[in-house]
Amino acid sequence: MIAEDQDGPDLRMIDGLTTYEPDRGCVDRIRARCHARMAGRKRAEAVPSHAAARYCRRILEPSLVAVVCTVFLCEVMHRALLLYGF
Amino acid sequence: MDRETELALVRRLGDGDPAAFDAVYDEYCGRLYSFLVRLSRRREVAEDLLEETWLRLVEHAGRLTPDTRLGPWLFTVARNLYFSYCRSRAVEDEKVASLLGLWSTAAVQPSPFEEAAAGELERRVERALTAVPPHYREVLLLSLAEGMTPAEMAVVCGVTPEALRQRLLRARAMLAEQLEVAKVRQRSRDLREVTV
Repeated sequence: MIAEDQDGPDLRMIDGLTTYEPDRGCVDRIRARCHARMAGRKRAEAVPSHAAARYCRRILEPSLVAVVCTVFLCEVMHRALLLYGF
Repeated sequence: MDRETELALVRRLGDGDPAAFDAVYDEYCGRLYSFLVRLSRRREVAEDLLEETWLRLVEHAGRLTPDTRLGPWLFTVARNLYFSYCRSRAVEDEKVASLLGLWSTAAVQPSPFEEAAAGELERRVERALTAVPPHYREVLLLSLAEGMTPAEMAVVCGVTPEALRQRLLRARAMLAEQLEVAKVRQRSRDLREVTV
């Protein structure tokens, strides 16, 4: 077994192996996609109404619908009880 | 890249600075690609994984801790993506031919004599590397080509430093064995040529 500090010249060759480069098109495509993604993230962070809109959609809307439904149901029950003389 | 520059880049990446991304990209793109090409032995796979690695960096840039070491972070993502790819596609076949095809795109343009001399040795090392199993090949590449410390490599590979040390020793032994086999083959080929 070879000790860590006893690399032969061939093993040390790995250090000097050719650095492969992806083709120019690939490099530019990846860069452009990443820039676009970063810009998108920045835009999303810069618009606070996004968070407010999300809050409205997820919390306020269902709550409002639930309240209206409950009021309607109570009124229906109230009318029904009155109808039967309670 | 010195540590101070790296820390500043991490902070600027978190702020979504495209110039910081470009600096990191220029520093690591070729190194990551070489690592992925030698690990996957397929150029098109390496390109896909490279793209995914960079997109992951952009995605996680805001959540990087201030003391993140970008090199190990990127190599960890790249190797995890590669092994995920292997698991999903079950690819583990020998593709020496596709690796040899890479020689036409080598960035360095040495003289024909240098090309012949260094090329033969490099080819032998590349062939020997491809014969080493991926888990051992990755530690060889990280250690010898990237110059990472054992602690950094242990983080990248997700193993304990002691396990990493054992893996590295075995990997070196495997590579040395493969190189010896290649040398013997070359010698017998030379002898045949002399006798003919």
